[in-house]
Amino acid sequence: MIKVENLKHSFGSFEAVRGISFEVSDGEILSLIGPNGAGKTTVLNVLSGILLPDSGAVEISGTNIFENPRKAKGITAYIPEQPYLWGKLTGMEFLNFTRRIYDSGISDEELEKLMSEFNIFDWRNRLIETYSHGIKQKFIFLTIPIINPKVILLDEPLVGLDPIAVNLVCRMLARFVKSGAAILMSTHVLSFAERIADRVSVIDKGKIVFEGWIKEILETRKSSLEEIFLKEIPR
Amino acid sequence: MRDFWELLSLKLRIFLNSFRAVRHPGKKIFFSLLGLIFLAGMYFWLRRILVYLVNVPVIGEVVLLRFVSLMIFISAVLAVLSSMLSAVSTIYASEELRLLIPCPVRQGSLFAVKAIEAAVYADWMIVVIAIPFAAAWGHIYDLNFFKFLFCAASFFVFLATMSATGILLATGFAAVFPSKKIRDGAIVLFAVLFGGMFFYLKALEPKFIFHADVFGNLLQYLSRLQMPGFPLAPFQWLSRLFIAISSGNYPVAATIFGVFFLFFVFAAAVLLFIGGRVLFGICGRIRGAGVGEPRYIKKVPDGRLSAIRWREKIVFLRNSEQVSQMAILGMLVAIYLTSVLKAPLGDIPYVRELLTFLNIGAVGLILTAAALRFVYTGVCLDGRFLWILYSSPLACGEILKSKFMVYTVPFVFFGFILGAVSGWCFSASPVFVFATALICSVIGFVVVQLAFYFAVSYPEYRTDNLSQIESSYGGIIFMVTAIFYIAAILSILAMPAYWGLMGEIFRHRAPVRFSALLGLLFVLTSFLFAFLPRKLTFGIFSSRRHRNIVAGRQ
Repeated sequence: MIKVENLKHSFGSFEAVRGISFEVSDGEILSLIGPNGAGKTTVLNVLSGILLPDSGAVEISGTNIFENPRKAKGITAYIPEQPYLWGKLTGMEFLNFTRRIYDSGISDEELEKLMSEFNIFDWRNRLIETYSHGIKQKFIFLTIPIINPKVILLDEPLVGLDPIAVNLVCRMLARFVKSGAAILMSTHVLSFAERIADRVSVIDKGKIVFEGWIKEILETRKSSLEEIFLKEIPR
Repeated sequence: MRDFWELLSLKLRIFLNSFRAVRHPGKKIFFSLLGLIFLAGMYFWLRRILVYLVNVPVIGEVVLLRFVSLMIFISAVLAVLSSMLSAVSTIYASEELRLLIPCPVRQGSLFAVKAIEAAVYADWMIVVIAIPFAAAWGHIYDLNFFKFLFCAASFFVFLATMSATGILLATGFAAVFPSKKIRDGAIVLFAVLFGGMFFYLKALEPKFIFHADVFGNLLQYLSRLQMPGFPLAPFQWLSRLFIAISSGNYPVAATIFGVFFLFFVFAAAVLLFIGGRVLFGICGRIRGAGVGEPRYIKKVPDGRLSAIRWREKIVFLRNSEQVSQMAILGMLVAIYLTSVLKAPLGDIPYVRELLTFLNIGAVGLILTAAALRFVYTGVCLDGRFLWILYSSPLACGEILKSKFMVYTVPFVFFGFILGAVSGWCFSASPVFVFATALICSVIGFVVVQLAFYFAVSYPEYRTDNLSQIESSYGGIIFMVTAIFYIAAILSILAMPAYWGLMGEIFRHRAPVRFSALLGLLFVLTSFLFAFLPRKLTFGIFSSRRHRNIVAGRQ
């Protein structure tokens, strides 16, 4: 479960996030949508422990991330939009490094099976600096089963992925949701949000301007996320 | 030409915009003042040397010519080597070209602008160091504005010619070897060039300048001094040009300057002709080359902190640029130690002890240069990947301690070995050798802490251009602060070293309390220069500001 209360973050005089509050229950996917520069990535960076906010509280499965960061980060997987990985490691070495850092119990066989599924097995012993954006993104996605998290944070997860990989990612996320993980993702691909998310929050200028259940939007309101997006974001 | 000016003004705009994002102006003013004090110190030191040389009866002018030739020669070698390194990272391995190559601009213009950028990164430090030298020179010869401008223009043309040569060499390597092999080839070339430099230093034979006693009479000494080492070498001409301008011999000065200028035009034309034609091809080959299988794959060790240290080491050792720099450093150290071993010191014992003491400064400079090249750039290059560690269940302190250990242990060890071996080469007494080795290992410890502090205080996390990182504000201030520290401890330890020496030669009793006090001052100074930056580094590393920078937002 993710619980965020009155979160504020600024970069110098620029207020990127202005008092955001929301919750994501276990086994639920919340999609953050909003225009560029709305504050989505900043929220995810704070939740992943990269940024320290000006104020506000964040709980990951009941643990305050600022009071007990080690415990909170140990059960959180973060997939960034820009896959900056050490170019001088091989993909396999990066995954093994992640196993050590998170004390993971995943076996070599399981990892190799996952690499084969994602079609990156042949890349495992090559240096990351030779990978395309998509291959890097696939290796980062494999850190999710390594960490076996209770919370997954995804920042534009589909960038650079081929349709087969998108399907695999959807299946992987569905499996973790079924096992009780809470997922928070930011995306500009509204059809993807409609497909896998349970709820949606629209952010603009650092504030949540709309919240709703996807099912309710699509079935009761007979509307689409695109229509909601265009309506809620003033041009 | 329009393309050229557009691209050049773009570069200038980027440069000027970097001043807009000035953070902590007070801190920057303080360190800038420190830099100015350093330059002023250099001016007074050089002025004393030049005044001394020019006032030596009969041979003063000739010795001065030799000395200036030596300085110009070192500048030339530095300009060629730095330009080679800078060209590889600024032109051929530049990420920026991904954006610029698809633009509808002429290849020649693009290459010319990138070549200027590479030369600026390579040469600006030499120019800064040349300022106090020029001021000292101007003081001795009482140069007016015109003469000063003439000397500056000559030096500028000379430096530009050397840089064009360096970039041309790098272009040749890049054209012949795709991808990382450029650097491997560069190692060999560097080795040859450095070997050549050593050879030429021997050819210049600076020891004869300072050891007139090896000659039977003054005439022999004078004729040896006036005998040109390499009469066709351009740095010999430049020193003659400086003398001609200073003494108002304008016809000679104009002739030499004219030849220089023609050389420059020729070198620049050749560079632009070749570079403009091969740039796209080379960049395409560099990006497309290599399957990227490392030669060795090692198992990640158990334990979180061991895994971090393993990662630091393996990323460093697989970076061929770092490895080639280590090869250059090794070559420099070998040349230095050989020079020490072959130094004509005679049998006077105290000279050996004295030089062993002064040797601490030389070892300190080597350690500082190595810390800039490996620690400062290493921390900066790792900056954009810190998101992985910040989002992991590791405390900032744990991450930093592991990083510190990876760099500190080799530097302390390297300092000790270098101090001990060079002391041994000077054939100093065992006590002196041990003491200098110990002091050098302390310097190694201190410079690593300083390099970390300046790297996180003035981070250059969004570039992988090593030349740009090294010549950034933080890099320069790190160098100045480290040299300041070395000068401070040499000043503190000078008296205890003197008393130790007197004790060995004349059996004088050294004032124990005062020596102990100065020893304590050395420990406190080192503590201040090491642990204060270390403590500040821990604070900065876990601060909001630093995390914002890692996240790409300042």
